[in-house]
Parts: sequence; C-alpha cells; structure tokens
Amino acid sequence: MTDIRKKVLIVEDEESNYALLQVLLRSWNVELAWAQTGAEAILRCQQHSFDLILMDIKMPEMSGYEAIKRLRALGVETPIIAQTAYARIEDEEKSRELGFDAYISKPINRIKFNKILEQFLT
Amino acid sequence: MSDTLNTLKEVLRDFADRYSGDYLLYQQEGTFRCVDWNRSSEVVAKAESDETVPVKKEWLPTLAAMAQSGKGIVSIPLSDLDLPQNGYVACIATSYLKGFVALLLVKGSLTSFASNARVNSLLRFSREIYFSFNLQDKKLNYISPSIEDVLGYSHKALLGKNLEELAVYVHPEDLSILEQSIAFDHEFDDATPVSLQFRFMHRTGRYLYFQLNAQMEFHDWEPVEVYCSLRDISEIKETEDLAMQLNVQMHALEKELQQSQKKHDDSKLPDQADGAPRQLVSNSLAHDEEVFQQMAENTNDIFMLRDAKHIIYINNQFEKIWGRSKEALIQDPYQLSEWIYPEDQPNVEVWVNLETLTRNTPYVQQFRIVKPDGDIRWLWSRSFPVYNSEGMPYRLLEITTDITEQKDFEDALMTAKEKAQESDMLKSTFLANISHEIRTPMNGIVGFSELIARDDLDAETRKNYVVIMKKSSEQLIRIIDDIIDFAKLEANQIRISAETFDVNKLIDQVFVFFENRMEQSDTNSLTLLVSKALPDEEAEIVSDDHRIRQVLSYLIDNSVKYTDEGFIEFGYTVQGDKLEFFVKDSGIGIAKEKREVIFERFRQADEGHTRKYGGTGLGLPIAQGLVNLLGGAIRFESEENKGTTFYFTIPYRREKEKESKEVFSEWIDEKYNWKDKLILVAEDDELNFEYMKIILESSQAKVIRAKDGSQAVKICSNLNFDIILMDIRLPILNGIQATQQLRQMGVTTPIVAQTAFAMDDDEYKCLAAGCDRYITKPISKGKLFSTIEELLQK
Repeated sequence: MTDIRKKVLIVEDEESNYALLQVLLRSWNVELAWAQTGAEAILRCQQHSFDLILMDIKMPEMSGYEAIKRLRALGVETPIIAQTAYARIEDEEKSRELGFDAYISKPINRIKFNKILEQFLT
Repeated sequence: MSDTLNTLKEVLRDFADRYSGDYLLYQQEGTFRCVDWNRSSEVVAKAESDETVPVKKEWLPTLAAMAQSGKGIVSIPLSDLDLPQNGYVACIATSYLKGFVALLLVKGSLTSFASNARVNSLLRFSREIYFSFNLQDKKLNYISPSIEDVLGYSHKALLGKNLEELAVYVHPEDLSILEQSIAFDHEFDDATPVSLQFRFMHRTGRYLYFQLNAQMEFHDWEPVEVYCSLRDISEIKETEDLAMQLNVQMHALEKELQQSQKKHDDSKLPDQADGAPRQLVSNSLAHDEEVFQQMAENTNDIFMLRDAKHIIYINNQFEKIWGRSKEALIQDPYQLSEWIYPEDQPNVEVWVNLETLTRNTPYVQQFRIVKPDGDIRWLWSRSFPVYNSEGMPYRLLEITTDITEQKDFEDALMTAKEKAQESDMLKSTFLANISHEIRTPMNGIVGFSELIARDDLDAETRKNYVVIMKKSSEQLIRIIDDIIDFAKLEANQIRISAETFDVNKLIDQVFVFFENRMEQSDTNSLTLLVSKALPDEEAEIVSDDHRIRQVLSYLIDNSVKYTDEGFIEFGYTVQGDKLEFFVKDSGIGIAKEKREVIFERFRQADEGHTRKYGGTGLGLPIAQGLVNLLGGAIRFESEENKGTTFYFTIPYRREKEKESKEVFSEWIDEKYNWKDKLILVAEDDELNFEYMKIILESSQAKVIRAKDGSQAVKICSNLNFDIILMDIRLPILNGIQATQQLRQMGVTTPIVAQTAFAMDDDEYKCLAAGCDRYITKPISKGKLFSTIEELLQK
C-alpha cells in the first residue's frame, strides 16, 4: 500500500521548536521531513515534492526570506507558511510581500496553527 | 570594470557597517541604483547579481546635488524607485566615498526628528527660529521653542495658526514681499530655496527684521510642506540703513560741492575768494565722514565703500575677519578672490559689477574664505548700489558678516538629526532582535507546557517535554539576565565591589564550568587551556571577582560560538600595575569591516535574518561596560580564519582591606526543620504563592498568606510571625510601604523582601524600609532556606 499521507517539510534550526511542531502535527497524520537551514530546504525540495512547507525565518547561512525567493525561482509551488519569532506587524506584512502563503508568529498559538493547517492540508 | 565593482563592493560594505536603512542608493556610471537593504550582508551580493533597480531620471539632478555636497534630505515616492510598495522614503545624504555615493533611504516622514529630545534641545538654544507649514491646510505645524527667546511668544501660542492669522504680525509694508515670494503657488522648484527679508512684530510691539530661508518639501511633485528658518537681522539692518543714509548725505554734500565749484568757476572769481565755500563744504564732509567712520568701526561687520575701480573706504573689521592687511587690499583689491575657499571660488563674484545691481535689493552672497592661518570662515555679504545725481549707480556699499558660528550650528543640528535617526533605526532593529530572542525559547516553553497538561502522555514523553522546557527556560533566563545587565549598565546602576579573592581559583572555577559544558555539548574537537601568571600562594588580589568571572564567561562564550575546532586558551598575565586577562581562540576571526562595531550596543557582527550564532548581541557591549567599571580596558586582536584574542585589564591591587566577608554556606542537602514556626507570605500572585507554600511546608512550617500589603499589616497586628516573606510589587500597599508600617508599629519579625526586578535600587529601598534580607526571583529553594535559617538563628 502506498503512503497516501501528505508530506510536510519543516524548516527550523532550533531543535526544541522542531520538536514542538512535530508534536503539533501528530494529529494531522502527515509525513514529516526536517531541514535545519534554508539551503537544506532547497536541496530537499529538489529531491522530493512536498504538500506543505513550514519555514522559520531567522536561520543560519540562509534566511527563510531568501529561501522562499529561491524556491519560487526554482518553480516550487508548494504552499509555504512562515513560522517565526519575528512577531511585529511589519514582519507579517513582509512575509506576505515575499509570497508566503500564511504566517504564524512564535510562540505558536495552537488554535491558530490548526486553523491555518486546515486550509492547506484538507 | 571589475575594479569598479570591487571598489563599489568595498564602499557598500563599509557603508552597510556604519548605517542602517531600508534601502540604499548608490551612484554608478552616471545613474543611481537602489537596492533593498534588509540585510546589510546581502547588499553587496545583490549589487553584484544586479538585483538593483535604477532610479527614475527626474531624480538624478537632485540626488547628484545631494551626493556632491553630502548634505540634504528629500522625499522620494517608492514608485519612483520601481519598488512595489506605496509610500515615501526619506533620502538622507550621508556619505560620499571614493567616487561613489551612498544615500540612505528611510521609510517614513522627515518631521519626526523634531520630537527627538537631543534635536529639540539644540533647537531650544538656537538663535534661529525653525518652523514648517503644512500646505494642505496652510497651518503652522511646527515651530521651534527658540521663538520664545527671539520674539517673546510662546511657541504653543503660534502653533496651528494659518497664514492669515500670522500676517497680522508682519509689518504692513512687507506683506507684499511675502505674498509675492511665498505665494505657495507651486511655481518654484524644490532645488531653489527662497530667501527674503521682512519685519515681524515682537511681543512688545516693535518690529524686528528677519532673514527667511524656505525650502519646499515635495511628494509626487506636489509641494506638501515648506520648511523655513528665520534669523534676526535687525541689528544688521539698522547699520545698513544708517550707512545708506550717510551715503545719501555724503552724496548730497558732494553734489553741493560740485555745484559751488561750478558756480565758482562760472563767476571766475580771483583765487583768494574761492577758498571760503570749499572750506565750509569740506568741513561738513569731514564731520560726516567722521560719524560714518565711527559708526562703521563700532560694528562687527565689514563695511566697504568703493567705486568701479577703487576702494574708497573699508573699516578695520576687515582685518579681523579676513586676517589680511587693509593696505594690501586697497592696493590690489582683486587679490580678494585668491583668499576665497577654493571650492567656492567659481561661485563668488568678489568684485561685484555695479551695473548688475538693482535698486532696493541688495546683491547677496554666501561663501567661505581661508585666513592666512588656515582657518576657514563663512561670510555673508550684501552689496548695495549708490546712485549719483544722474541716477546712475556710481558707487557700491558692501556689508559683510561672519556667519561661521551659525553655519557650525546648522551643521551640528544636521549631524544631531542624522545621529538621532541612525540610533532610532538601531534601536528598533535591536528591539526586533530582543523580541525574537525572547520568543524563540518561549515557543518551546509555552508550546510544551500546554501539551504537558494532557492526560494521555506516558511518563517518558512527559519527561522529554520537561527537558525541552527546562532547556528553553534556561536559554530565556540567560537572555533576560543579559538584558537586565545591559539596562543596568545603561542606567549606571551596576556597583563594583572590592574584595580579596584568589584569582587562580577564579580561573580554575571558570575552567571547570566551561569544561563541563563543553563535554555535555560534544565539542570534542575543542581543547580548553588555562594559563596563570601568579604562583598560587600570591594569587590573592582585590577586585570584583563576580564581574571578572562574568566578563570571562562572555568572552569564552563568544569564542565557543565562533570556534569549531582547535583550542580556546584563557588566563591572565601581570603587566606592571595591571593584570591583563585574555581569551584566545583558533576560530573564524572577526572580519575587518566588522571590527569597529563589535562593541557597539545593539550590534552584532552577524546582523540581519541569518542567525548562525544567535544571542542578543549584548555580550560584548556588556563585557566592555563591566571592564570599564572595573577600571580597565578591553581590546582584541584578530586574524580572519586564524583566530581572535580578547584582552582586558584590571588594576592589580594586593592590599587586603580588613573587612568581614559574608559567608553564605550552601545547605542544600541538609534537612530544615521549622516545625513550630509561623511564616507570613505576602504575595498577590496565586501561582507564586502556591510554589512558596509547597516548598515552605516541606520544612513543616505553617504558612499564612496575605494578598496585598495592607492585608499583611492587618494580619501582623493580630498574629506573631517568625518570618515574613514580602513581595515588593503588591497592590494597595506595596512591599516597601508595608514594611515601613510594620516597623513603625514595632513589629520586629525578620522580613525577607523578594522581587522579580533584579535592580540594585530595589535592594537599597528594601533595606532602607526595614527589610532584613533581599532575594530576587526566580527564587531558588536553597538560597531562600539558607536565608530564613540564618534569620531564625539570630
């Protein structure tokens, strides 16, 4: 039987934050992949196709802002959600301008988080 | 070409280190290109990969002028920069480097700087008045407080007035000049500032003469605001008028002289008889010349009367201001032009042509001169025509004022404004970073604390969650400690103690601490080394061991961050009357262009959204602040990819001051038994009280709670307690007030104050109010229990 679960890529450099997303996504029954930098995320996307990407912004080497630009330039059309501790209104605006499909600030509000996932995983 | 690119890269990098803004404009091959500047490190890459947009042509002359002078500000609509957003940016000329111009663009309005305290105090003491008009409603929307000194009005009284209301204060004869020049009819373009003179009424009713300079502010080629400065020139005006009058009188006398001469010639009287009238006239002339001369010598301005070729009169003020001899000038007036500042020479007409002057309007010039000693002064000259009987201009009166101080002031104001803007930008970047750093561990804490409450978790999972929460909490506390230390340093609230301690032991303790930490985090490829200069038996010194440990920790932390493999060595050497500590690593080193900023507040060598090394960027500024307080200095040597060595000194003092040292014994494992003891906990927060109750009851003590300060006082008047734990931030009566009342009532129970704000001032306030001890939250059980035990033993 082939795996019909949706594939989600988490791009996050902080281990504890990845662990949290992992738990939060458990009830969604998705297949998870983890990239710790923007560059790693690009590499992953070139190898597999994902149904959703959860992207941190402040990361080593390459930020989420840069990563989304490059992913879009490579033709990756997967919805990308920004999940970041940059929590000012300007930060949300900026993520929308750069083409993120949704934005959630840290600390992550579980109810909001699930509502956003509903849009992309159902 | 590649040379150009390299220089450009260098300039951009240099610029990016020094300033921050939203966009950067730079000049390249005759045009301006704009690059999005959210990450300074990427500006160069973007310029290289041509991710830049050219600026619309209309802006080239303005930008080029700003670039040339390195001065000026202008608003540019974002659409003219081909940027997708709406709105404007303030473009501030900041730097002119190696043939390239970098202009800084900041989103938002220009007027906001007036609210800055530093700028405002400069404006307050200025002798000039600055104001701005909103052209939509034609109302005064800003006026500097200096108006109170100059004109006697309160600046609040004039604010919000429109043009008609203000016209009442203007001298009736000058209204037409104002109306003509500042008709606000959008006819003049932004490159030409308006300059005119008019009279304005002082609060006492007399009129003062002002020089007005105005400049329009455009948005979308529509003028929206006009910025003006007013300078009181009444004194100058008075002298000018007097000079004009005198000149007219002299002219009349001369005419008289000519006529009498003519009459005399006509009548052909013998020589002897013609002396009388001439004598009379020249006497009168001599008298007037004397008056003129007296007046001219008593002003601070240069007075010069000349005809087309020769200087007829020049006052001594010339020698003072120009630093040159009058005689030399009179012999060869044209050498004036050689004394003009070279850059200004092409724009200055030193020998104004009489024919170009028009009636009633002086010919005005501003320029710099170079004195023989190299001093550069700013001069402001006004030339007036003097007419002969035929109505032809035949003489010229020139009055020149030294305005260097005023120019310096304007420059200072401009610099202050730029500084204020720059530090505002740095502060907001800093705040965004701090917020980010706090939210990151909070995400783990908040997220997992919600999850942990669920019933369906097995013990193992729960334990894992707790481990993550604990790690995140520790990270958060480190960040908060940094912020508090930083704030204390900024507020001068850190006190340095001078105690005797063993510096070798200190080094060993720090070594053990970091050795343990590095073992835990698997940094196997990194070796930690120590070096101590003093033999153990002579290692006692006097300083603040806690702060030295803190600085060493920051520096070692920093080295660990930037060193993947190799070694970190730390220790100290003796340098005469100083001890020099060092932390040396074999890490990546500090890039040349980052070296200037690493100690700057709010800065991190790795700014922007890529976070390789994390942290708040406060470590090194705090280290520097502490070293300064310790009486030493901090510096570093670094080579890229080879490593960095930080050095800091402290005074080397060995004399032991006879002081009883407080000994805090750590009684962590011992059992406390406070079976019959009654403890009052004054605490408004439910959770904090629960925590205190649980740990205190483990000693079998009885715990009673007061929810606010006044309740604590009330309970104490009925019950005798053995210990009172007093939270400082309490409602109704705060902990300090409650303590004061209790002491006044004669309650002698030991009081332990506790607060979440680890500021030294609180400590002093608590102790002054009558508390016996002071502890900060988060409260460690060990510290709390040893404190209570100690007080109970008394």
